[in-house]
Amino acid sequence: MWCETGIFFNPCSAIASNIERASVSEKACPACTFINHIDVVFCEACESRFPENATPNILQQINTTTSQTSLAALNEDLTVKISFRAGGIIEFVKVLKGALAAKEWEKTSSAQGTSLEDATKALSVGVTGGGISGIIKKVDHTNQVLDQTLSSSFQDLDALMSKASEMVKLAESINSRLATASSTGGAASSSSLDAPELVAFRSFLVDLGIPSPVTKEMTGDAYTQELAKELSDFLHRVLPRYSGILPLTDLYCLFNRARGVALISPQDLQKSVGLFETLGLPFRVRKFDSGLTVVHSSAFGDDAIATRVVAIVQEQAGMGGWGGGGITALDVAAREGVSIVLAKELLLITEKYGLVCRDDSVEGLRFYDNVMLKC
Amino acid sequence: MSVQPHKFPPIHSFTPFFSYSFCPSDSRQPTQETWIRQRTLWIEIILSYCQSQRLFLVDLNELAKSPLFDNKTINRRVQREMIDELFAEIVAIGNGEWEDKKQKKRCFVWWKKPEEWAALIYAWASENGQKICTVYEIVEGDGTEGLEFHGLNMDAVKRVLEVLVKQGKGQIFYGSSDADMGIKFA
Repeated sequence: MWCETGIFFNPCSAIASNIERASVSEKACPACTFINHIDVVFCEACESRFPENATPNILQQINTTTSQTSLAALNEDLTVKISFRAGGIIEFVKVLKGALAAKEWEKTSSAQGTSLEDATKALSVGVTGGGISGIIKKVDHTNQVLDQTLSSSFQDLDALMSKASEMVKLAESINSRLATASSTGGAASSSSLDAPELVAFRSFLVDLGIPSPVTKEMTGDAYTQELAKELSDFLHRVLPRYSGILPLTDLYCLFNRARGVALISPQDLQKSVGLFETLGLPFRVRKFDSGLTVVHSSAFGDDAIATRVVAIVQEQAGMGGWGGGGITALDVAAREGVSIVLAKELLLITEKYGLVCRDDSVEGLRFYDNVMLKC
Repeated sequence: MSVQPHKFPPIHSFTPFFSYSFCPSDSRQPTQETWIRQRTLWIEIILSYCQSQRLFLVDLNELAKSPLFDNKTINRRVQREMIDELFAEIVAIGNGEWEDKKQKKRCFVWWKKPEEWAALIYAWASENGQKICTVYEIVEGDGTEGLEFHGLNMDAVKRVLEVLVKQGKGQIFYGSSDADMGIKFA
């Protein structure tokens, strides 16, 4: 194997130069190239016995060792010992590394041709006899080539997967770097990137993916629990962008988009989110009277919702004098960045606490600061 | 006593200083706590409205069309179901009494309770040394002009006099018509 790489010539020349340097009173060991005194019978370094006639023709002997036949024997042995008595190790390692990286030994084999064309060409040349055996040979060969093509394309897929995981890692590292940049100081981060740009870039990274999605094959019975944990990690990153509350359907889409592969079913999602409380994860599921199901952080309870809605109502009331013009679900949706359906639910929760009151007319449902309880 | 246009309290047309009125007061609030408060505020409004308009017996269908429940300034109208709920509560707290117990369409509104009316009439009678007088004399007679119970609804007066009888302060005698009905004070 080594002989084809061209690496072997380097030690060869090293040995050669070593031997040339050896004076008449010395002789180099053919095994380890250690320079011994002319009179010793065993090599002082490796204790190998010198051949009887070694002394004068050592160079010749080395040359025979490097010849194809003896290298075939070396091939089987697979162990090569290389000594550098007169330097050159750095150059050697350089070339060796280059050859390893380029996978030189594969080049020759792939150059033999794996395409169908080559196969048929080979067939037309190679098949000497016709008849059944010829056909069988032909079929066999075609199968072989197909097999090779298939396996090589699957290799491509694997390569793609490994690249994908690298991409995800890259995205993560950029994200974490951004996070540290923004945490180390507002001035520094604002100078390098504008805030909205930063946010957009970050959201893009979040959408890029989940590094190693939990699958049924990986976890078995614990699948739902593991999925719940993964969801929790995902929600940590995603929820702040959706003002802390997210309809289950939206979560389903976002989560599966982030996974990209190994998509989960709605049923799995439903089971997993139901485990948040038992697993002690900081998120909760909530089903509104209308049937709308949402996921929210456990800190984002009724109180937090009510406080936020009341803030909007009072701001509106402040603008329009006593009572103001009231707010609709649309106003809340615009202010909180949530869907209108969800906005209405938020208003209804707040109403339940008696903090707002409704004006139900043909013009629609508007909500006002509940001055009735105050007057 | 002359009838002045009723000046509604803030909740009805929320603030007189702006053109805004408080629209939610005309919608039945679903939240229990808010509704109870809203009901209390509404009952105050209804009683003061009836007092200023000197209404003693109201027809709910007619009242629904009155400025009390049809707020033209904010283009809101209190739903009939909510009016029924409000009057049920008025009756429950003793400030009202169904004239027709089955249909529940007509209701005495006791912005002064029958006992209070009875006390007023009895006080007037003893002050003026009245021993026997007719119902007509009490509500329409010259002697009661300017007094609060002057102009009191006939049917309402009968209820009030029944209170006096119960208290042992009088005795009713019946004539050929309602106006002939009288009372002998004890």
